[in-house]
Amino acid sequence: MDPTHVTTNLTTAALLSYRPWRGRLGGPWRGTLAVARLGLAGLVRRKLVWALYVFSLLIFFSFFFGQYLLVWAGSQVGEQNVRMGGFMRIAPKDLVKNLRDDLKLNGSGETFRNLFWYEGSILVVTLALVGAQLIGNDFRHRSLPFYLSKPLSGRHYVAGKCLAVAAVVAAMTMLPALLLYVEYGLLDSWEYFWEARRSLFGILGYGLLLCGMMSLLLVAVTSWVQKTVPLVMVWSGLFVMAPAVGQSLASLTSRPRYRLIDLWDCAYIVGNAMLGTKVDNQPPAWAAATVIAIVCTLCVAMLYTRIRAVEVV
Amino acid sequence: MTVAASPLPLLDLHAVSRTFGTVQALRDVSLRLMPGRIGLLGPNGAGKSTLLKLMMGLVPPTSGSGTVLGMPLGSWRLRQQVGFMPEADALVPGLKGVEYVGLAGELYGMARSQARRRAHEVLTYLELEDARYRKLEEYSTGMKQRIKLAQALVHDPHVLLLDEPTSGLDPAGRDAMLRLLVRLGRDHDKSFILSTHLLGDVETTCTQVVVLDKGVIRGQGAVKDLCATRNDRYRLQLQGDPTRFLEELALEHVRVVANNGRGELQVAVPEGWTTRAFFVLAENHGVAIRALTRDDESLEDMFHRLIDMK
Repeated sequence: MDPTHVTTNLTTAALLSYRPWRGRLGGPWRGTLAVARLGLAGLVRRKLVWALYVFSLLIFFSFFFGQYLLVWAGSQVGEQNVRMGGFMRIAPKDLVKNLRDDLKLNGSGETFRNLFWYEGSILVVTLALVGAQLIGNDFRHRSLPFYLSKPLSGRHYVAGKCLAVAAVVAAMTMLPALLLYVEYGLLDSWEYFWEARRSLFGILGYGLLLCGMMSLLLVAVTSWVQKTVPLVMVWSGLFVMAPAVGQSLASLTSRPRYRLIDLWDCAYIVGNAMLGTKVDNQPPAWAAATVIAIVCTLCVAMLYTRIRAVEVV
Repeated sequence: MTVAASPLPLLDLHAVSRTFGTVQALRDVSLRLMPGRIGLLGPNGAGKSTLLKLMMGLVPPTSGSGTVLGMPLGSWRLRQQVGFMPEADALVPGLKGVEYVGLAGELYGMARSQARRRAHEVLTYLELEDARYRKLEEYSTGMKQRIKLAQALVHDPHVLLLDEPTSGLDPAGRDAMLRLLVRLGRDHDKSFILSTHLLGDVETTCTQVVVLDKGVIRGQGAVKDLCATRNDRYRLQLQGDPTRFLEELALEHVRVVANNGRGELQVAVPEGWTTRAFFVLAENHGVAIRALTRDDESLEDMFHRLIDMK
């Protein structure tokens, strides 16, 4: 008999027989990371996500290159005044500085606040369109028992999903803001990093606040409305209708507290407080923080109920 | 991770109850099961799935306590020792077979590279190697059942909890699945609890059985112990015209329980009857007895007896 033939048969037999596994199993948090990675992997496979991310990058690059151009322009003009129109003299350096301050492209808290605000619009659209895939599918396709029959608890599962959403939020808001901070420090001077440390903590604080709030909100809402169209409708109610109603009521009654029904504005107010920037005609930061805390608590309660219901079914 | 003669009971429950609103799914269930191939039988709504979920810690007991493999109910470490195959599809859409099983491994706590390698091994063992790069949505029902078993086996657990594993399978697929389960239990020391309402599945694969009805344990033990030995019942296979033979049996107070009209009979005999009497009567009336066996209670009879027992 051909010995090669025997070896092949033995190998096949070994492959087809059950082989025990002798390794060490990690804790349930390892599963949380797997849930988060799976969620993100599902998102990066979608062209729509990349298209929206390109829009987000356009906003970032307008800040990035705007900041760079104005610093560069400031370095190109001389110290002396220039005659203009035969009757007035202007200082080009001051002109560039004024322009930089007016456009808020000066590495101050306002620069980062504006970046967060503009990026927010793209972020909200992105989350509305990907939420159904990220979380809703698990409820619709009854995948939840698959996750929860493992060492993971509902808490670990939700943490994994929130991590995936938080990664998207951070990639669209906090990360660009940090890059902008680093860029300005490199363009201006090393002292900037120390002098503007409040902005750094503000960026981290505002970014983490958005990550936590938006991830909990999205996971909770998609556990309830699991398809894209209803999710977009709920999202529009939260981020289009509520701000419009809040603003109208605040204008009509001259009471800024009506703006508290706008969750994005609440985050904006708290973010401003973290960045140390002033906002006019807005309710106090503590009130906005309270609203965010209440909404997050409600989201956790809702998730608890939804996931318990799935466990029982 | 094989369990070799583990002294720990597989399941030890003490007066466990579970209610959902006004529905009492389990009532004061006390149960001690040693490792092995165990069938969990009961009609729909008997509390089988609740018992499995309780073992997995997916639902806590309303009252009572218990352990699985010596670990308290609901502990995450317990779930690392158990593989659960749910009745529902419970698939993650968009994933390929190997990704799905690898993900299950990671969720059990395996490192990513190990989980992926192990997923390939298990899929090969379950003869799904050709389908491992196919998306789960493209799988047939039989393949879905096998991949659900694969995700339960990926971390090489001590115990498998199988909720209706043959549900939706054609006869060939069902036989293949049952053969696989027997092989896992007999050759690889895997204990499993097979929850089903198909008595044939339990008869083929299990050595012990638990009968559950309306949240109460109606019977528990080895299949052969639970099925009553009936010394007064016989099965006969006859050749020839049995009319006179049957008349004579009636005169001797032998009751015909069932007669299929093709020479196969089930009879109940009076006390003191000997099997020799059958042959004497048959010879007298020109009938040949081709087979004579004692008619012990079948699993189905036993199940109905226990379920009807109130």
